Amino acid sequence: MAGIGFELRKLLRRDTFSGLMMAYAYAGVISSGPWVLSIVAVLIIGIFSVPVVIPPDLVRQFQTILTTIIAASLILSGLVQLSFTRYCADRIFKKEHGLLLPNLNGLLLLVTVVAAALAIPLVIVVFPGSSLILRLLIVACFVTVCNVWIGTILLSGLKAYKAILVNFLLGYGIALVLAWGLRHWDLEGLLLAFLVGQFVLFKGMLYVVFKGYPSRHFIQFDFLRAGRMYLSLVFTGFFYNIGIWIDKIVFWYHPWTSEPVIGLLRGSPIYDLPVFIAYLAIIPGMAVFLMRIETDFVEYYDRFYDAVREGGSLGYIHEMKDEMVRITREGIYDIMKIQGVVILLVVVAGGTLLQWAGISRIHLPLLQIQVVATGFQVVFLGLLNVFFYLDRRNRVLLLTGLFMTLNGLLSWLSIQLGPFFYGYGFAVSLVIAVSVGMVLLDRDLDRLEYETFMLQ
Amino acid sequence: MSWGLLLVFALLSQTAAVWALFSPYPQAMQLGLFVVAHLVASLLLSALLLMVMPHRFARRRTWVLLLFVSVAFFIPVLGGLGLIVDMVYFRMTRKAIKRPEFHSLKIPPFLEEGSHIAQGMGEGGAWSRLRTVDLPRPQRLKALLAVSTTGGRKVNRLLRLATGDTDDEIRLLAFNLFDRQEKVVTQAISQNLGELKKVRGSAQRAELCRSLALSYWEMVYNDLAQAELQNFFVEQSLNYASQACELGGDDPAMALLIGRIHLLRGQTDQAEAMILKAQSLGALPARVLPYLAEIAYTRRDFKALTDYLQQETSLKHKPGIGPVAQFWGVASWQK
Repeated sequence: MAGIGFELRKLLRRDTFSGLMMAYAYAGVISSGPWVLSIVAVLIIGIFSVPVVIPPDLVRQFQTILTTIIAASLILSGLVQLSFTRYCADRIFKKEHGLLLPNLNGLLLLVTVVAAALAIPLVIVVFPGSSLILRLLIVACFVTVCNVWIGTILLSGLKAYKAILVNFLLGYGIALVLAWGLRHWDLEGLLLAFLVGQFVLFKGMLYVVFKGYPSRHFIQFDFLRAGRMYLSLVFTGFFYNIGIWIDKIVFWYHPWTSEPVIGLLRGSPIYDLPVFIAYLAIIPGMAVFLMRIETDFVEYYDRFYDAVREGGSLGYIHEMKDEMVRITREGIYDIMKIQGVVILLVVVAGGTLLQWAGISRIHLPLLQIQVVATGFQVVFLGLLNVFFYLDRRNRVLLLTGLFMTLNGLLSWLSIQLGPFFYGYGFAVSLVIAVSVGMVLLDRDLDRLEYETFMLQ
Repeated sequence: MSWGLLLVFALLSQTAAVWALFSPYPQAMQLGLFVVAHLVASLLLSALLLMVMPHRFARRRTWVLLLFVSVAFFIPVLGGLGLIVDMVYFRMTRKAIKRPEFHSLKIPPFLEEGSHIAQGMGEGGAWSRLRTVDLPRPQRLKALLAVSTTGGRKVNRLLRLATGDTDDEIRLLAFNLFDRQEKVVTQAISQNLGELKKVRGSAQRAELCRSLALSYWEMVYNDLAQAELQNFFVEQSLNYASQACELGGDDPAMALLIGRIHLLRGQTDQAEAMILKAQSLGALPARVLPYLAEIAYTRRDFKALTDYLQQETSLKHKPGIGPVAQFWGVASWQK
């Protein structure tokens, strides 16, 4: 499976302005495609269901259930996301490709059973009085979405971004078409459409792995052996996903900022919509992030470690390290610059944008601070990625733990301080986490040769 | 019961499960009926898929079955449909992938008797395995270990190649093996040097010098030293071989060694004189003729080369020199 960096370099090799634009557009689509598709699909399903599904509250219930399923599944699968990605990367490095498919199946069995075991009692408690079909659909959606994340992390680990994008396009396309046909069957119809789309997406990703990485075994649990999955990565994945969602959860369940939607599930009409839109504003930053990391950074990273492994001269090792540091700095600055432009655009034209979308201007201050926060989230992602490349797992654990704690505490504090401070909890926690990350990265890059040679 | 009939039962059970959800019964009864019918359908479909899967997936059948059942059960209807799609996929592609694996083939009867002979790995196999960086590490390590037990010039070249490998484990193992070989010879040298200081009798001194000359030469010949160090060892070997000749009289092996050292340095006249001396002292023709032929070759005296190689017919059957002797020895190339 060709790496994404290879395709991006091919586009860049043309050395023309159009080639550069194409490369950035491609990186943008590849890096942001799956979740942009998810957001757009959920929005479109909502838009075309409103006139048909009576009362319109049902659409809000559908969106709340879906958001909760996505958040819960990301947090649950977060336990294995990074550790399994590392396991796969290690297997690929050791040329043990035959272990990928059977261990994916082993993990799928584990995740399916655990997800179902958690979801079944929860739907009984959370949705009292709901129909049996609705509860079954929620359990099935939760199990399927958890499995989709597992498939996605494996394909991301294999750098098969194109396959991920195609499958997401297919899955959400099917969900949209079916939702159009099933929207008369209320909440159950919309959930069924989503479930079918997710299931097609899941099977499609499995097919890609099955065709691309054949094996003699169908199921194995090699990833559970001692030393195969790093415990620090288990916690990192868990902390990161809780960190991303904790401010939303605080706003959903704080009595001042939320309202009941369905069963025990609540939503925050003030907070949810701006966050939803703000996430669309990080596409340019994600494109720059992917371009920089997968082309320039990886190139010098490979050269540096190849020189170390194969006994290159000290001068050459120094040179490659300097280039790596330069590219890292430039990459982070580039993300900041592009996100800065996006923030300015939203600050200037945010009101008009909200007016066009038919959303009240009351959301504008929150939208502006959320765009700043999501911009910092891209920088944070970039930093974490560089730490992952340098195998500084403890650093990432510290940063994600810090982000999770601060985001939870500061979001709660922002609610206490009043509506003008909403969104600042998320933004300030990211600013602090990014600043700490920068200081640590600076220190690590200074000591890179020493640590590479002496502490291995 | 046939495969088709089981599939019909599975589909009927699944339909019954869906019907139970829409039935007018109380919710608890709906749930009970659904769970029973859906479980039966999930089990049947999973078992059917297991039957049509390629034989290579035969291991851990219980776990595979558990995976299918859990997906089919916890993702109602769609999970089952997915299993049916997988069945169609496997049935359609099974012909293409139904290929007996090597390990599953039975040994032909006439080979069974010899099956107790351990499988070895020659130098060629080891070279090809070590040079293929895509091979899994265990195989490459095995190749290195297998070849290291034999020793010799070619093996040391192989070890030297492996010391530059990208894989840390292989590189370290190669260094270790190399170091071990070097240590054996170095120990012999230091032991002989120690004894040489103590010994007074010329016969014993000659014997020790002979050993030292051969040990230093072994370091060079077996490729255990390179560059400056190699020059030093050659010098030492020549020095001790000369001393051995002076102290212990004429020794054909030492004369031949001195000849070979001159040949290595490109001093063909001196080399020829020493090798001819070794021959006159009684060295076996099969030992000296290849070097004389080599000298003739460097002088472009192909007739002399043919003459040398024709003198000893056994050369044609010796490994290494054999093909050379066969080619140059027949003289047909001159016509």
